[in-house]
Formats: sequence, structure tokens, C-alpha cells
Amino acid sequence: MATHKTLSKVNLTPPESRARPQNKMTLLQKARQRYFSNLLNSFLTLSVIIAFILILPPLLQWAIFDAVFIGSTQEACEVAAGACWLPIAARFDLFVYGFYPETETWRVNLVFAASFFTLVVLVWRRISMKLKLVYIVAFLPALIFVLLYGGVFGLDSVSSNKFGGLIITIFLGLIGSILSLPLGIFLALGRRSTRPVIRIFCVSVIELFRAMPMITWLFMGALVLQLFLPNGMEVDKMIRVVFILVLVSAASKAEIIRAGLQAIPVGQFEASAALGVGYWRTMSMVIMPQVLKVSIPAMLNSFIGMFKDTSLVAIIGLLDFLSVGMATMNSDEWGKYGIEVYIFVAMIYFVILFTISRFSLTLEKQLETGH
Amino acid sequence: MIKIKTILSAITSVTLLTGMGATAPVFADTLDDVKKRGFLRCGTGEAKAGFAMPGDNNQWQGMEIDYCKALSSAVFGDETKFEVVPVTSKVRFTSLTSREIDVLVKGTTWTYSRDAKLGVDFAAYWFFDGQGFLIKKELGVTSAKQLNGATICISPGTTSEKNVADFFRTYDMKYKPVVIKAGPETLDALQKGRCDVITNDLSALASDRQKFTNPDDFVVLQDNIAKEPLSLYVRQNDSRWKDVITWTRNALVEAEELGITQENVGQHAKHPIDPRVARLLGAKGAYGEMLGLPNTWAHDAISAVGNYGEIFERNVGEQTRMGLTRNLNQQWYDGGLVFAPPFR
Repeated sequence: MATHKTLSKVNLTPPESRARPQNKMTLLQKARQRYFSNLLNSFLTLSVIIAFILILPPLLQWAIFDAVFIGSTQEACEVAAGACWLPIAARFDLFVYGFYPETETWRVNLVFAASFFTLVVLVWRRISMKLKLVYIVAFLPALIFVLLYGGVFGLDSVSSNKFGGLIITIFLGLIGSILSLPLGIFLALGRRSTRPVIRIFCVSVIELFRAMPMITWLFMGALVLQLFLPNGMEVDKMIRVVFILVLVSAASKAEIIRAGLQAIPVGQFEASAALGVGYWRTMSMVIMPQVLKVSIPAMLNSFIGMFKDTSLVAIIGLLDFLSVGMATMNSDEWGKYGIEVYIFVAMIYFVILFTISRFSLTLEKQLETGH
Repeated sequence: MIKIKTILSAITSVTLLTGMGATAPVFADTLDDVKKRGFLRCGTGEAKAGFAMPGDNNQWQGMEIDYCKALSSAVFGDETKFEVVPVTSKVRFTSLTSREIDVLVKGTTWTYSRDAKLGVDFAAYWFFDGQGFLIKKELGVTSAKQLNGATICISPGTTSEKNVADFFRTYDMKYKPVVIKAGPETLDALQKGRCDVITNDLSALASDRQKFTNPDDFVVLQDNIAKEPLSLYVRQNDSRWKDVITWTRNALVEAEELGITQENVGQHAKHPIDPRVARLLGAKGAYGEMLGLPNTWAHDAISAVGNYGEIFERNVGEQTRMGLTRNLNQQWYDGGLVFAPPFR
């Protein structure tokens, strides 16, 4: 710590001569250089501008100026020349909370807050990596389970049949992704194991879950799994779906981690072994921190894919965020306003996933060690 | 040789073990299970207007949901002791056989092969639907028999797909199928001319037509090409529970015949004049107990959702956006198919 402080006092600004030449171009020059440097660029720039001029005004006219925002019944929309955003207003609670009891929605809000807070935790420099991992892998899933299901700490128990909308999407996406991380690590390590039994087992699990479509596994989890359970034993459908999502996503994460493992120079393993450090300590103290660091972009990519894949649960009858939108389009009152609902659903997905990808970019920059 | 034998025996034992849960006859009685659990699981459609649809108030509503309420009232004397478990067409029967739901209420046509081989039992009709065609008026078609060569939008994996094939073969006509899942996309396809006709359940077509900007440009043809008795299903060999499902439905139908409504059911229960009313509402005899239910079961069901006619009118009737007429769903004495066997 002391050296760090003295270091920070040293003037590290580069001398004047080595500084980057200042860009003295005016805005107009810059624009010319960037967008009209040659014939092709000028043509492309102009086409984009024309496209905007053609598309944007009618779009705005439809989506905002001619649109109906106020009212609560479909009648209010009959007069609209543009979009009708009332189905979203009228069913906002359904979109977000599904059928969750109205008095308990604060628990859902808390889950959303905790999920968002996770992103903050991820990029918070003052928190150690270990603490971050504990928060994400252990604390957050436990918190989400307790809050959503209740039944402990004096919280009313809520059946998962009451989940719907964004709850399902966030719950499945988040829990599936998080719990698959430790499993993925073990599968990746097992795949490189020298013991044939472990290796073959891990390879089979990975290949099996990677080689079959998610929908097949969802059917399996939703329907067939229940048939194998002993009579009278019931596992919540949502849990079975999470189980499937975790396995599917762990299989893909295992491959990401394996790629990370292969990127670690073999000298690292050897040095650790030479120092007499055991396998698990080598893995947890030396190898994994480096592996996780290099795999973060791929992991977040897999998370984003996973988050979107949760909409597949519609085929087994779970009403996730997108399905609530579809239900809205099938309803009598709001059946005419399918486009608006699709736009709303797409926008929410975009906002969530774009936020996550921005945070992951920040995280990547932070971890950049500049080899 | 020994190795193969060991492997074989291992495989057989695994199959036996896993197969036990799947194929061993289940003697568990769902009525007991439901009572023990304290609520019942109702397998409904995932989103069908008028039948099972999440409303703006975050509550499920529709004809199927009303049946669930009635059933919950009959068993527990409380209309809230049920959970809606939406099931899709693809998973509905497996959900039932894997005990995830106690009763399948989702509009499911009663067919021979389903009853014969799927490990489920038909319990009662809930709604008589048919299959028809929705078409642009400007084409000037008045009968389905003029549809030779038409392009038809069909929802995949439904009985309607097969019915259309049968119908066109019967009349030696040709058609081009365009397979699109029913929903706004189908309507868009019809409007933009990707297909000339939409075929679907008549109940769905009526409400689909209302979703066009100008419904008057479209017409539902008079032809009904299929019988679609949408029914309630239970697991096979579960007769006590099946009786409860069947007779709860029958009680609601009988109530309409006897003129018992949600409003006057209390009055009728207190001072029954007609002995049939007295039996139904539990004022005379012990008819509920025969089913293993409280004696006030029918009274509770009716006071929760009203009689069959009331349920119909409230959810899909002419006053609603669905705007369906009773048609086949009229009582037998009005010329419909809705009929309850005598309560005695």
C-alpha cells in the first residue's frame, strides 16, 4: 500500500514531445474526412441520411404523435391513427409480475433490484473478486429463491404457478446462468482429468447437452423427468426447468472454460506443482482466476444467449415475458395491437441485455492486464 | 458372453426401475390427493380469448377458468383453492399423465384415439366447437365447397389441420396449406393476401374477425366442417375423480335447466320446492357424499360461477367481444347438445 502511495505522487504524464499530436481540425473538416472522404463513402453517407429522412418521420408520427397513450379501454384506441400503447399500460403489471400476489410484489421488486445490483457489484473495484463470486454464486441465487418462493423467514409461500412475465425471464435467465458457472467449471476440469471415469462422464454430459436442441431438453425436463420420479414425489416445474437450463448452459460454459484453460501456459501448472501446491489449490488460486478473466466476454455472451433462450419455455406453458405479450395479442381487447406489443417486448429485452453488455465491457476493461 | 449378459441385465434393471414410475398402474386416487394437498391444479389453455386468458387485472379469466372455480368450490367450498397451470397443445396430455395437473380443462377435442391410447379418460363436454373458414368478403365465396384451389392458413399440430385435409379429399378439391401458428401473424397473412382463407375453431374465428381494422370486409363461412367437442380429461382409471369432474359440469348444466342462477341459488337452497332442486343443492338426501364431497357441493359451485348459461354468456356470449351465439351449446330442450343426465 505504501509503495502504491509514493508511486501515485510520481508525475507520470508523458513529456510534451511524446504527447499525441493535437487534432486541430474543425468540426466540418472532421465530418468531411470521416463521411465524405471518397465517392463510395459519400454515397453511403447520403443513402443513410435519405433512409433516415424517409423512415424516421413516419415512424415518429406513428409511434408518438398519432399514438394514444391515455385511456384504459380499447375504445380509446379506436380513434387513433397511429400506435396504441394502452395494452402495455393496462397490462404492465402482468408483464412484470405475472400472477404474483399483489401484496407481495415488493419481493419481486427486491429481486429486480438485487439483480441490477449484481451488475454494480461486478464492476465495483473495491470489492475483491472472491467476494464478488460469493455474492453472485451463493448469495444472489439464495436471495432470489427465498424472495420469490417464500415459505421461510415469515414470508408467505408463493407457488411458482403464480410466476409470470418478467419474473420468469429474469429468474430462469439469472439462476440458470449463475448456477451453471460452478458446474461448468467442474465439467471443464473433469474433461481434462487423467482419470478415465471422470473424463468420460464429463465429456458425455457436455456433449449430450450441447448436441441436442434446448427445446428437446425442455420437454424432457417439463414432462419426462416427472415420470421417472418416484410416485408421490413432486418437483416444482420451474425447478425442473432451471435444472435443465443449468445443465444446458453448463455444457456450453464448460467449453468456454476449457478454451480458457488451454490458453494458460503449461508453465503455470508446472511452476505451481514444483512449489508443491496441490491440484485444487493450484486450480483455485492460480489457474481459475486467470481462466475466468479471459473467459468473461465469452461467458457474458453465453449469458445473453441464455437469457433470450428462456423465451422457449413458452412451449411448455410457462408464461414468460414474451408469452405475456403473445397472450395480450390473443386477447379480445388488445388483439389489434400486436405490433406495439412486439416493439415493447423487444425494447425491454434490448434495454436489459444492452445494459448487461455495457457493464461487461467495463468489467473487461478493468481486468485488462495488458499482456 | 458374461460381459454381454451383465450389460443386458444392467440395462433391463435400469429400464425396470425407471419404467416403474411411468407404466406401473397408479392406484392413487386424485380426489384424495387433491384434498390432502388443499388445492387443485387446473390445466388450462395458455392464452385463448374467452376461455383462458390473463386479464388486465393479473387474474386468469374465461370459461375454462370458471370451470376450475366451480370445481374448486365443489371440492373445498372455496372458489380460490385452485392453481392455474397453463399447458400447450404439445404438452397437455403428458402434463396430465405425469400428474402435473389434476384435470385437463384446456379446450381439447374428444377423439377416439386420444381416449383409446393416451392413458387419459374423457370426463365431460365443456364446449361444442366446430371448424370453419374466415375469408375476405370481396372473393364472393359463400360456401366452403367453392374453395377449390384456395391457399389456406392452418395452425400446425391441431385437429384442424387434419379436418381440412379430410374435407378437401371428401369433395375432391385441392388446396395449398400455409402453416402459421394461430395468432396475429395469421390475420396479417390473410389481410396481405398470403392466404385466401384462415381455418380454425369457429369460436376463435369469430373473435379473430373482430381484430381486423374493418371486420366487415371479412366473413366467417356458414359451413362447419368438423365436430369439435371440447372436453374435460382426467387420468385413466381414476373413476372417483372422474365422477367429480363429470358431475360438477353436469350440476352447472342442470342448474340452468332448473332455473337456478348465481343470484337465486341461496334462495333455492333454503326453500326448495322442486325435489330435483332439493337433491341438487343438498337440501334432501346425501348426494354430495356419494361423490366424496360436501353435501353443498353443487350449491357452492353454482354460487361461485353461476349456471352453465351464465358462464357462457359472461365469457364468450353475445354481450362480450367474442359475440358467440349459444348455437350447439344450447340446452337440449332448445335444440342444442348441452344436456345433463338426471340427478337421482
